[in-house]
Amino acid sequence: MLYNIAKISAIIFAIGFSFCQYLIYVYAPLEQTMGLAQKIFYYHLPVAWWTFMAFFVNLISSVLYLIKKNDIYDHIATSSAEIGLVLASLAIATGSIWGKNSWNTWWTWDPRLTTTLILWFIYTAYLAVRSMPTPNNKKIAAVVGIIAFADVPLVFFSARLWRSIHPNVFASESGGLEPEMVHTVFACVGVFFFLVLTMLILRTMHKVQKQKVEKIVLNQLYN
Amino acid sequence: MKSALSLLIKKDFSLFFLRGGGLGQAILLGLLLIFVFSLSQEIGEHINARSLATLFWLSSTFCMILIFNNLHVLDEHNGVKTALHLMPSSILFIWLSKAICGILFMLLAQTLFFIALIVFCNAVIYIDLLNLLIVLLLVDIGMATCGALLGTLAVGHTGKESLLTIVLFPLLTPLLLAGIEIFANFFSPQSVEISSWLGIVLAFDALFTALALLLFPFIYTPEE
Repeated sequence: MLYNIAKISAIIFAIGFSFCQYLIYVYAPLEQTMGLAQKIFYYHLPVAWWTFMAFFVNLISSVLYLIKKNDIYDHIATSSAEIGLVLASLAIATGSIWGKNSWNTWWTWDPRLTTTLILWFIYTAYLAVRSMPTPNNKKIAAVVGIIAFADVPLVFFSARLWRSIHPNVFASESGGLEPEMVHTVFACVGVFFFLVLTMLILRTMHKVQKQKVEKIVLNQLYN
Repeated sequence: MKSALSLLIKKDFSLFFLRGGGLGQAILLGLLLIFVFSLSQEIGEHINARSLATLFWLSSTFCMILIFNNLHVLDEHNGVKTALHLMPSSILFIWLSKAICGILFMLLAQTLFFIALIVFCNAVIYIDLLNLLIVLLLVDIGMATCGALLGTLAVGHTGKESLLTIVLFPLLTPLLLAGIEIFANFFSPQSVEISSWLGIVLAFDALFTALALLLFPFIYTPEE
């Protein structure tokens, strides 16, 4: 059943993402100052938002694993951290390309950029902890996952106090988005949900299958 | 309960000083960082206040990681961990004793780092000692709660020692930024508003103390 959900979700993503290309390059107007380079925003914002959602799923699964001690929550937590890490890498890369065109620099110590980069480091460490060949690594990884997400608001506020030049695209009155741009970006955010869902289901199923195979191999070795 | 905590603190002190030698390493690493960085100065040049504060907290963080590595590894190597699990009192006392010992060791090391900054980098401190000590203690509490909680990562397998550094550094970012900004103010003759940064430090202390109280029993388990 889960595999069918993943298949349907993948098909919806493929169709939706194709339609998003039309919205991005035909429907949404060309931004006056940045020109074509601004189009990267329609990929950058969805991956950035879904990065945080993936890490939030990791938090919930980590809490559930510590309470229920069921391996499925550990699989979901690890899978969501992996997906979040891929999305965070994409958010940093697309953000850098945006920054080079908009601010004439590949990197700046802005709260959102800093928070994403720090999250990238924390969840890389999380996966390193999770891959350690020790008996209680699942519990330790769950604890690191909870602490990592709890730290996010503090990282954000401290980075904002430090310095900031990131555009606040939805709150800004004069530099806000055209309605067509808003429709396009929300369509992209919606479509990326299906990509994240597909990856999460498939990766979790893969981990469950891998665990089953390892058990079979161990049983055969000792019997 | 009080005696259990004092016994644990005494145990950590004894192990650390009699069988560890970790504090010497930790202090030496911090001092080396300050000394090497001081070589980047031209003769008579003064390092700016923020760089001095960054140097101080960088040394302190590396020192803290070594201290908490050692506090947990010593328990493991001396076969104390099993006894601690059999102890007829809350497991949270183990976390608390390590946090208290860690703070005391860090304060000792940081006193030497201050002296090194004054000698090697011509640092001048523009604040009274009491205020400095209060802020230092508040930042150290945040570091110690986090270090005592995650120090268990360092125990057991080769290569885990570096893992603690990788996990702790990004987690400590808000605290480090606050520490750097507040101490830059202490090293500078011009005074700026630091109440927001103190708020971050207090929030970090409160958050990580609460998380440590909740999560330490999950992380400090006997090897299955």
